[in-house]
Amino acid sequence: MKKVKLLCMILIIILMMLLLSGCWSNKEVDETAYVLVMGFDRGEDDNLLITFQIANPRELASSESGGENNKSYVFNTLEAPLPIAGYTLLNTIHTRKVSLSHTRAYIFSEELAKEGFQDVLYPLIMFRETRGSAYTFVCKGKAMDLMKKSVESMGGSLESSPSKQFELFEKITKQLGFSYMINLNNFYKGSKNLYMANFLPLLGERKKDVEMESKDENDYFGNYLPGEMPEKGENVQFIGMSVFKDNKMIDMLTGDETRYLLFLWGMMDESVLVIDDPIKPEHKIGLYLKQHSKPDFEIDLDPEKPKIEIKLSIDVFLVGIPNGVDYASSTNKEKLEDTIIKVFNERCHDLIDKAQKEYKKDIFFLAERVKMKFWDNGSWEDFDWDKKFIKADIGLEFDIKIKQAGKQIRTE
Amino acid sequence: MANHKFGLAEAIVLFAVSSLARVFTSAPSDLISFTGQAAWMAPIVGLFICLIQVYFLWMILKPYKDKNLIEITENVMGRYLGTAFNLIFVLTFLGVNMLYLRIFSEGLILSTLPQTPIIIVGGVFIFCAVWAAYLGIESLARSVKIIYPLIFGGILILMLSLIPSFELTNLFPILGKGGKEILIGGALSGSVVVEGLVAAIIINSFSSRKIFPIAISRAMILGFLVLVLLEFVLLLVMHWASALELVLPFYSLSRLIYLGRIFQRVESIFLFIWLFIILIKVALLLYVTIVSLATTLKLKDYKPLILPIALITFMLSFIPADFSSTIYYSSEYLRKYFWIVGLGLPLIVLLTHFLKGRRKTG
Repeated sequence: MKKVKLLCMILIIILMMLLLSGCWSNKEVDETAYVLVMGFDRGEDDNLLITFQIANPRELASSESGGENNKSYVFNTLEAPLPIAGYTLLNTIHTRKVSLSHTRAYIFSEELAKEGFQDVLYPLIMFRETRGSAYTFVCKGKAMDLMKKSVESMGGSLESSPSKQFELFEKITKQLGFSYMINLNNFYKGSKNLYMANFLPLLGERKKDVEMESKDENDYFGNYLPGEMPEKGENVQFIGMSVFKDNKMIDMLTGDETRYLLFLWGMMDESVLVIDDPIKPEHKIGLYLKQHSKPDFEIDLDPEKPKIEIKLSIDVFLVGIPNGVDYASSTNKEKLEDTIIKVFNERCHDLIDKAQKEYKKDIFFLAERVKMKFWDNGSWEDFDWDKKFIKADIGLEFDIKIKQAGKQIRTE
Repeated sequence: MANHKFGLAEAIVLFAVSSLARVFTSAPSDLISFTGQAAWMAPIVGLFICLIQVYFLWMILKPYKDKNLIEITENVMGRYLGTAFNLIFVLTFLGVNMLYLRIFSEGLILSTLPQTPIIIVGGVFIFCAVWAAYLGIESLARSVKIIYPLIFGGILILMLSLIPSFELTNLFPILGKGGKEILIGGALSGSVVVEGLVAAIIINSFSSRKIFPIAISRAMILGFLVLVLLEFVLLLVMHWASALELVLPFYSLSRLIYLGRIFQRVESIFLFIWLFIILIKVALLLYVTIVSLATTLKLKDYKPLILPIALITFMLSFIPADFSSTIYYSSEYLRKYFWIVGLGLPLIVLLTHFLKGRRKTG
């Protein structure tokens, strides 16, 4: 009996050794080509022009120790009707099995975004290897060019991997407020919400021949779309948001507009604003802003004209006063606070007007607040938010307080 | 057949874990398609139905000292009708097991093993179930007792890891598609729970028959609580209109976990939990099918039936043409008509028992 048991144990161990060594679905790392970024442009005859940025592990390792960054990635652009078709055709070029399981970003061209890319979005969401947590962008110009430019400019930047670059983008957007990262799952989720516009962050390439022209005047700061920010270089810029209505891109918001939109969403962590000095208007002053708390909403569901009052609470820290005005004094402080309120009021109302008159779509997630007042989907659908939103009376109230006047006081 | 016994704690975790298996199928999405954003409320109605079922079963079992549901049914309904009822129980367990086996095998292929033939995936599951059936119900219950902290802990970690993606407004309008739909969805979610029937058949494996109502009602409460919480998390993370499209919602949720560069791509951890629950469910259903058949046929030992029934279950699981048809059968037939067996037959047995009792006393 003991011998039979021993024999069984040996057989089980041998069987386990065979089973644990792999199965039909195993993938060896050195037999797989990992796509890090995928770009989508419109090709000929309604086809897609799909660009794959594939990691070259050997070169990637050497680039981290000072090698050439350009060789770290292989770019392939294919024309295909669907992402899966491009993915399959890519394997006629590479002997390694292509995998999307590590794809960190999807970039859609401006042209494709204007046409609407639901035909790309659904297959991406459905495909087994893709992840909903991957970042999604719209780029000004062609995605194919931008991806290559991004690697070139990475050579002169601090990052060597696009995955880390995109992850750091997310961190930095939270500190600037010029953009907001949205992943594939959230964008898809947004496309299912019929009462709200949908959004994606913008990317763009700075071209050499574009004139250096500042648009930051009259209390605007960061009033650029990507590629427009005056910079003596040809880098990829990351600023602004694209707005989607009925799954088609209808507009692009500048970094400055995005800042106010994020404050209204209650998603602003930190931001910087540069405005004209109210005491010495020939000078500008720098302000560091923090959203004190999420906005408060007061909603009156008048069936004819709903009234919505949004209260924003913002903490201000002075970071750059070039003219020596003492903003620690209460009179000057009040004056500055009033000026900031005036700027915020103007810019936020500009956005509200744009949404109600131009887009005719809620871009402030007000629908999410208003629907809380309804018991079930039927009564909410009957309310017809789209029609109510354009007529709604949206008021703003600000609680803006200067919390710190910087490291110096009595500067006069 | 009842030499191997286990206690209250083992019974609670065994049936709670087994009832959790539906969380790993498309059942949470089915519920969302019925009720919209109120899907988290529906299982509360379902729990109420399950507790009624447990009460009926206990009323049937209580007067007997050592008989299980199969023996009592024959006793109460007579030889022919009783055997017919019992064969319906056997066929139901077989059908439910075959559907679960196919759904789990297809789910595993869809999520992680795309190149592996389904016959291998399903074969491994049924092999483990056969092994478990040979070892007996006590081994199964005690294995679950050892591993249940990992299962519930893992599910809790999944929920907590998704907190950054929560959007409270996703839950509104609070009644979703409406109160009527909540009741229908709840009834459908509650009626498909087989654990009450399974426990009534293996009641003699409990250390005491008296633990039946406590063990099963607690197991149901635990199982439904997890379902409510997972529906809640699913709705908080996804808009209901996109959540209802998910074939494997639990797996899709685990793929969304991203807590910085260090804690991401953790779905493989949840895969272990998923696999363990699948194995428990398939093994328990195989065991109860065999024991029910053996009792119906008045066999002294159930073991000779293990291999034939396992083979039949395995072969039947390939009848649905594809994954979509399997989900269709599960939603259209199992979910809609299981209450006839789960609630209807025990009620008939109970009423007949009372009527006969009255006649005798009368």
